[in-house]
Amino acid sequence: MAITLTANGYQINSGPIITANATRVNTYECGVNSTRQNPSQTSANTVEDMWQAVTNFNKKTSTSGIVIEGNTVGMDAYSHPYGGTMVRARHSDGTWYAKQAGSVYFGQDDGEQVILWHFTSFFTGAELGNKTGDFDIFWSHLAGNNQGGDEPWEQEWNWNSNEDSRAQQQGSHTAVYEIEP
Amino acid sequence: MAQLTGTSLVYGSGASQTAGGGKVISYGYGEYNTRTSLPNSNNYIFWDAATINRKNAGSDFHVVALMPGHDWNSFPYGGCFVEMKDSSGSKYRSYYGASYLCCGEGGGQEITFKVDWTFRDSAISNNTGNWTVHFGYQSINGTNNRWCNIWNPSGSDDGRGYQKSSTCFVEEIIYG
Repeated sequence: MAITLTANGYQINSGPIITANATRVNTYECGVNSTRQNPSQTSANTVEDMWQAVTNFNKKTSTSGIVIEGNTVGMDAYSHPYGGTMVRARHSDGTWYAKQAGSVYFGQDDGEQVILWHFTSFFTGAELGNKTGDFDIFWSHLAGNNQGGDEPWEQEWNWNSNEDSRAQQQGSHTAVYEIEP
Repeated sequence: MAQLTGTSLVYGSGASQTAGGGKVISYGYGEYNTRTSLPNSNNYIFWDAATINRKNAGSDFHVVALMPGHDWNSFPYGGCFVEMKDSSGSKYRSYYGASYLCCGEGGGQEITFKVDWTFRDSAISNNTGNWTVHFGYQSINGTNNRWCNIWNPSGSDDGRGYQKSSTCFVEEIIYG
């Protein structure tokens, strides 16, 4: 029983010969926010970054992509259907990358009720300029016609018993994976 | 010939590797598709959803789940939770990352309960072995509630409906 170097790779006991790095998930980080707050509406022509969910996510290889998924919870519909939500990634060189695909929110125009803003999306390596290094991840929004005055919910993000006396403190979550294609 | 050179493994192709192993090292999955009436209750667990065998004492758990309901009862409420239990029986609960939405049209409509949460290693024990995932509800003021009247609706709730099912996926992850 042994770990053996072979002509092109290695073999553990009698298992298959491994000839390349088999890792598919290089990096994983998550972001959490459970503070009740009322984010700002957008100003005209300016993307509003509601939440910097993950800071300095270190992308290891130029070929990898980034999967971003998560859920934020708010209270009371305001801009709907809107369609201006997006996820943004900012490289440490200052370049921004934005994607609307995979960003949806669900609400009801019925007063003080729950709104869920959900994200499942993927930036390919090419879409991120095949860069390595640190990225910051943001939940952001701006209307497609660049008008201001929008927001995904009118009242509180991460609402609590101030909104419903039965409620536990609510919280939001973001998961980020670096994936090899 | 592949070579070990100091801190690198160099493959026959010339590619080198300086760090080993993936980040996702274990999975668990649960599914439940029985139409169920939920009780008006407090601190109530309605689903023991999945088991995962934890390999590493310093790992995190990322839990993702979708659960369909029918016919609103308590809303907005805000008492739903996701809970994990370790191999010794200790429990770790999060009300964060566990939310549901009612159709605003009225009662007798669809409800969706969505969970997305990471239990960081610092928030749980370092026990390895089998951990289980659970979902439930508890108000902060002690009142009895429920997030829907019917969990996993079927053709009994809408003649057009298939039997709906709840799903839970949990992964063990090495952070960073």
